[in-house]
Amino acid sequence: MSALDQPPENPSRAAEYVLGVMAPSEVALFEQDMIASQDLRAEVTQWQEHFVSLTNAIAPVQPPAKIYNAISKQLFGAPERWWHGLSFLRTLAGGATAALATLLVIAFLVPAPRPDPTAIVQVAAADDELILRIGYFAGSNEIITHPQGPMAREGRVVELWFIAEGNAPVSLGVLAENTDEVIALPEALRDAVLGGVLAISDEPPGGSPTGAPTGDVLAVGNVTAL
Amino acid sequence: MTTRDDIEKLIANMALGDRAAFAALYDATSAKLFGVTLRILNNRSEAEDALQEIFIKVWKNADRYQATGNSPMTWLITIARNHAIDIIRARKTAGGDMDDIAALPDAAPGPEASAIASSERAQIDGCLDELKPDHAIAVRSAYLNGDTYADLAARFDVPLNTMRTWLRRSLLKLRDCLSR
Repeated sequence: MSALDQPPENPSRAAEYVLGVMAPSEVALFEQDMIASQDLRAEVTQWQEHFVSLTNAIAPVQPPAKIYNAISKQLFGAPERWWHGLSFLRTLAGGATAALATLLVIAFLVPAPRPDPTAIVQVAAADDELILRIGYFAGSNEIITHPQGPMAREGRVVELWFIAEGNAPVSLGVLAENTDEVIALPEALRDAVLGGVLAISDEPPGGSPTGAPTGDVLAVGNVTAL
Repeated sequence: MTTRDDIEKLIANMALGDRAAFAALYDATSAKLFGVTLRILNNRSEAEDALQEIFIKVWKNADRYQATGNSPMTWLITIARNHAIDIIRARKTAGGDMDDIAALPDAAPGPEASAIASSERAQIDGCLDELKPDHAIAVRSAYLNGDTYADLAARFDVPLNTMRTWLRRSLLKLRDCLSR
């Protein structure tokens, strides 16, 4: 027992340190020793690798969408920045014809960053899982959709809908899987965007045959002004 | 599917201030880290706050990742686990709340987790099986519940020094087994 009480002779110190069972004074001492000893640091790394396997059995749980926004706001001062990753060509593809796009590409070989969106929408399922991020750009009256993973059920498609308060859903088209898309909104909707809702529904291939959602509403999000 | 190399690259880019890399890392790993945090804290709103703080630490410490020599997921999960354990410790000193401690989840994984575990048993699981069951529970409980020597001594109703001896012997046995 007495030999085990002497920290320098205790060969299980690295493991105790990783487990976190040491008293604070022992921790401080151990960390000092770690600075001086590469062997000790290597032992700690090894124990971390072993013990972390105890979390293999823990199933992943999707955190609510608001968490990322809070982190991004705290770190970068703005709630959302994902649209900066979208390429210039992609943002053009929706609004401009191919010929115009070609001309513009020649004119601007260096991709220009898109302005920050006017509003964002986190389209989330009932269990809070974030399915789709959408940015709204008031200048061009366009949205960019940014799926977070697979959306459609087997053999089905998802269709995007805009719902102005108290109105019937307006289809914004069937969404492709795993692709950001630029969608121009009907000019008539411009004034209704802020305060509106975007939703995706489960539909047969080709989209809703009736012009209104026919399948389950998979996810919903409020348009939030930035 | 994000590979180990992908995650490593994202962390390296984060160290250079790449925010898109941070967003991608969050998408790829937040569910696992949230699962771990939730499991340790057993309280959804505390786990949500913790996850925020964990990812802020991850961003701020991205430049230190290389030096640790850990695999990327180990590095991330260790940050999450240690942060959650710190919260549990603060909880205990703040309230001295035995109810909270009693309410902590058992060290054994739940039924759905066990199903996953069976296909993902790591070397350490095999080595823990070689320990006396109580001793294996003590080790798991220290790692997954943040139990200190004092907590474990109380839980198994043995003197503190006996607990120390137990755990140290177990750790030495584990070390021998893991190095086989």
